[in-house]
Order: sequence, then C-alpha cells, then structure tokens
Amino acid sequence: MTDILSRTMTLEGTGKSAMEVARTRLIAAGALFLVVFMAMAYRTVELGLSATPGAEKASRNRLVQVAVARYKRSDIVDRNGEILATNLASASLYANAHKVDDISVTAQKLVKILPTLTLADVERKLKSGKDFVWLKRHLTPEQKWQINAIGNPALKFKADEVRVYPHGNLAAHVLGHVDIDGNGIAGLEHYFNGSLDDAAKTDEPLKLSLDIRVQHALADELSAAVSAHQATGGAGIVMDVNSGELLAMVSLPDFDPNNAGNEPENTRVNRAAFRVYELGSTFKTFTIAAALDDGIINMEDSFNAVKPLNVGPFTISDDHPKKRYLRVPEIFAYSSNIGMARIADTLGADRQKEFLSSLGMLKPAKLELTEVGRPVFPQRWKRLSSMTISYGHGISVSPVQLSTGIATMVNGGRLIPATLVAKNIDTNFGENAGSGQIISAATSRKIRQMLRVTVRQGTGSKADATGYRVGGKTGTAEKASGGSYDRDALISSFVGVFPMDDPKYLVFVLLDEPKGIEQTFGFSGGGWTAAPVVKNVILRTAPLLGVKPSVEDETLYKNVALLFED
Amino acid sequence: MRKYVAACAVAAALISGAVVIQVKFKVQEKREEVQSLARQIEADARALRTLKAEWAYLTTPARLQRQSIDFLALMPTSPSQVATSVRQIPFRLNPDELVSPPSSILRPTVAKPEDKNTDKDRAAMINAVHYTLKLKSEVVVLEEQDD
Repeated sequence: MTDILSRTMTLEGTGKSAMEVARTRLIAAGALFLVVFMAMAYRTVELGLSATPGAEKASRNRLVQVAVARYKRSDIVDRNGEILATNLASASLYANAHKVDDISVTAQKLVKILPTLTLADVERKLKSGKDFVWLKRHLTPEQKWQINAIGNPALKFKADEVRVYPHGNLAAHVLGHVDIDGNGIAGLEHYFNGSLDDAAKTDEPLKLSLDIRVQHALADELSAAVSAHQATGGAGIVMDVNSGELLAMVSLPDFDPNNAGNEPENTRVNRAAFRVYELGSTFKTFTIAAALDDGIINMEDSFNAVKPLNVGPFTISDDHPKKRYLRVPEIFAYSSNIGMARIADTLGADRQKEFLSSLGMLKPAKLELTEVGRPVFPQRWKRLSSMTISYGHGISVSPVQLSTGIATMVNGGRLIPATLVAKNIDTNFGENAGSGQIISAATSRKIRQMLRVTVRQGTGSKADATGYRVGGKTGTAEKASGGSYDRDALISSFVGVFPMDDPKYLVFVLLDEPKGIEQTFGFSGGGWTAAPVVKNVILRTAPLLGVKPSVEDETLYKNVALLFED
Repeated sequence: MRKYVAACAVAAALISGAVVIQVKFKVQEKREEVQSLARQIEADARALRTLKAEWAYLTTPARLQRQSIDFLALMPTSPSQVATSVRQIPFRLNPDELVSPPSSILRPTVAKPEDKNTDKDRAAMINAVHYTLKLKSEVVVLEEQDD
C-alpha cells in the first residue's frame, strides 16, 4: 500500500511538477512570442510611419533602375543643337568558320544580301576554319533580318555602333571622319578623339560654332560658282568677327564622311584650313593698316602709279591701271599694285614682317583641326619680297588665317583667334577683350571705310548686297608654277564683311582656277567670280543671322569718297 | 470565451497570411510591370536617337531646298521685303473694313506629278511663280522710303 501510495504520490509529485514546468515554459514561450510580435508590430508601424535612413536604403536597393542608353562616342552638334554626327546601334556579322557545313551555298546567299562582298572572299573566310572571322561590319537592319532568315547557326551578330553623319557632305571637312572601329582619323573627330571617347561624358555633345543653315547656304552658292566657272576647287568661310567663331567652313570638292574610305583622295583636302594660297590683293588691307597705324601715311597722301615699277629684274604693274597719282583709298579701291609697293617701301620690310607676324600670318592658325596649313613666306625678307607681299604675292597663307586677319582689321583691331567650337558668351567675352590689340580702333574705322568704298565704287562692286552695307576686297593671284606665274591659272577670292557700320560677320570665298564665262565677259578675277558668291551668301544668310537691312548712313563714307578723283 | 479568442486569432492569422500573399503577388506583378516599362524606356531612348538622326537626315538643308523648289511657291526673301521699322507699315485706307488677304498669297502651289515632266515645264513653272511673286511683292511689300 505504502508502496502503491508512495508510487502514486511519486506519480502525482512528478506529474504535478511536469505540469508546472510545462506551464512555466509555455508562459516563457508565450512571453517570448509576445515580445517578438510586439517588436515586429513596432517595426511595422515604424516602417509605415517614418522614413528611417536604413529603410530608405533598403527600399532603394529594390528600386528598378532604368538603364541609360549609352553610346561609345559623343554626338557632335551645331550651335543650334542640330545633330552633325551621332553613334547609332548597329550589328556586325561574323562567322564561326568551322561550324559552316555548306560553304558555297552560304557564301552565295551572303553575297546576294551583301553585294559589296565578293564570292571568293567570303568562301575563303568561311574555309579558314577560324572560330571568329568578320564578314561585314555595320549591317543595316534589313540586311540583318535577311541574314537571320538564312537560319545558319554559324553566322552570328555582334552588337556594334556606327558613326552616322546625317548631313552627308555638308561640313565634311570640319567634322572629318572615323575609321571602322569608330576612332576619329580626320578633322574634329581626330582633334577631339580623346574627349569624344571619354566614357564619363559620352552623353554630353560637342557643340560647334557652325550653323548648319549658313554652312549649306555657303556650300550651295560656292558649288554653283565652282561648276559655273569650271574651277578645280573652292573654299569658303563665314566668321563672326567679334568672337572668332566660324559659322561655316566649306571646301570643295567635298566627300561623304559616311563613306570616307571610298572617296577620292583629292576631295579630303581642306582647302579652307589646310591648303595655303598666295591670296593676292586682299593682303593690301594689312599693308595699308600697318602704314596708317604707324602714322607713316595719311588717307590724303598720294603715290605715283603712272607707270609700272621696276625693281631689279622684276616689274610690278597694275591690273586696273589708272596711270596717274593715286590717293591711299584709291590705291586700295582700284587695287593698285604699284601704289601698294611704294607704300610697303615706305613702311619697311622689318616692320611689315613684324606686323604680319603679330597678326598670326607667319605661323599655323590655332584651329581645332589636325589639318592646319603652315604658311609659306620667304626666309630672307628683302625689299622686293616686302613689295610683292604688300599685295599678297610671295606669301601663302590659309583662308582661315586671312579671315582672322581681316576680322582683326574691322572689329576695332582686336586679334581673336578663329575657333570651331561654340563659345559661351558669358565666359569667353572677357577673354576676347583681353586679346591683343593689333591696330587702333581709329585705324580700324579707316579700314572699314575703305573696304566699303571698294565695294561701292571700286573692284568689289559685284558683292554689294543692297541693304546690308557690305565692305570687302577682291583678291586675284596668279598661281605659281615651276618658278614663274601662270597668267591663266588664277586664285580668285573675295573677302566681304557686313554690315560695315557695325561689322558682325565676315564672308570669304575662294575659287581655284576659275574660267571666265559669258556672263563675266571672260573675266575670271575675284571681282567677277568670287564677289557675286559673297553677295548671294550674304543675301541668304543675313536674315538667318539677324542682320537688318537698312538705308546707309552716307556721312560715314563721305570723307573717303571725296578723296576719289573719278 | 477562450475558444472564441483562439478562433479569432486563427482567423486573423489566416486572413493576414492570405492578404500578405496577395500583396506579395501584386508587388511582384507591379515589379514586372515596372521592369518592362524600364526596358521600354531604354528601347524608346535608343529608338529616339535613331529617329533624331533620321530627322536630321530628312531635314538637311539641301533636301529642304529641293523640296521647296518642287512643292512650294516660295522664293528667298530680298532685303526690300524685310520691314525693319513700324513706320514702313501703311495705315489702312478703310480701317473699319475686314480684310482677308487674297487666297493665293499664302497658299503654296503644289506641283502635280504631270506638271514636272520635263525640265522645261519646271523652269516655266518656276518662272511663272517668280513673276507672280514679283507682282505680289510690288503690292504687298513696301520699298524702303524714309523721308
């Protein structure tokens, strides 16, 4: 009994203590759950109510990112944001050559789709047994679709990019072009290759100073003149004389940068920046400016231009002989070489060289192009050299250099280097103001008057675009060939600036070996061939550039006009 | 009472579980939607770039010039057509009368395909357009007269 009792008691005792233990454990577990649930509830409320920094970070990790469409190379745009060069996605075709079984059939199908490939070439590549062989780079979407339709697993595509120049030939020499892998190998593409390829800023376009509308107007008028006069080439520039920005730069014949590899070599030469020319009478502006600025001559001075001038074995004669004494503005307007040579003699060879050097005529222009021409001038600057250089013979410079020089003459005398990159007006104007003062503002005013009078009553009359007060100077130079000058092969040019009462833009046009035609009565000089182009360009672009036509203030030119005898 | 509480707790647990699963599915669905939108945005950005290049190609000045010669009766403006001062605009003869411009002035003349069979026809058309414009310019546009 006791045994049983003791057993039950034990049983009871152990049973009771087990219940107690279970209960306490249950309570402990319940309390634990309660605490954890409370913590979770608190956290839920906290997450819902407040934006704790940790929560923000956690939710940001779950954000869906929109992948940015990245390209390997920056776009190039004009001053108004018009696309001049851009990278587009494209596909390139390659083959895994040891997986092709029916080589000749595949090759035939491929050649049918890609007519630029030859059958033999494709077969040779497919037979090569290499794992990777390029068949064609940069397919059009249609070609890609057709090749997919062949259904040969050995033909594969690699996503690629192709550089596209939507405007084709327009501004080809400025932009340059890229090779098959997208590396710039000419023009701006080459000069700015590093920054265009900079992965950190490929979405920032390179903004040029060019205005594509002005570029087209100049290219259109220039090519019309080149074909009308059967010239071998042409060059043209439109420049903002106050900022140095080039709004247009044309060189003819031109090429299509989309297909640069297949274009003839002679079309790639940039005649506006790389070629140097003896530009002829446009240089008279510099000689007269130097002499006037030094006070060596006055506007009223007259020089003997009665008969050709003999200097040693060399004879300097006039194209438009007046056979009398000419005053300074007359020498300029009638483009008298004799008068000019006498002024240069008065000025002196050293001073002339120093002046041209300060204008940047003796070293290559600092333009953002790889192809910038090096000027050619005599190493020993003697009396005869200085006389011929005074009217632009014996020194060869690029059209960009000449334009920069003329811009300096008319903008109040400040030398502002030409540029192809758009200037930020706020940041760059101060810098411009600080750049070298070459001639005084007063001399610049006199030059402006003479340029305007040259167009009104001198050799440049064909450039007079009514209402736009054009001033300018003709230039006609014979081409040097084999040590002497060729009378029939001319470099005819004209440099015009408008409006002359407050110069804003400069237009330079050059024709290489133009032929005289019926409309020009057989003449092929700058006044007959290049001046009308400048006029047309001004008539077309002035409204685009916001230059208002107006009636001329006659009093500006009265003093100069009175110095003319007839 | 205790049973009632337990039943409530179970029901609450089941309902909240169901809602959580529902929300999770919804979120997943939205997430996929957002992802596909993001892909769409990227594809559109690429397409946009191609279209911009195409737009530049189609509006290149040389092409616009050709189109303008073919389809529009517009000629380059001459300096005399630009009114630079308000004084060049004359007073109306009859200020109360409503004016409607001659219908032919602003409407482009569209050349029909048969009209430009030959270059000669085209030259004749351009000449005719030029002539009418000249007549109009004498009526509409004022020469610069500053007195």
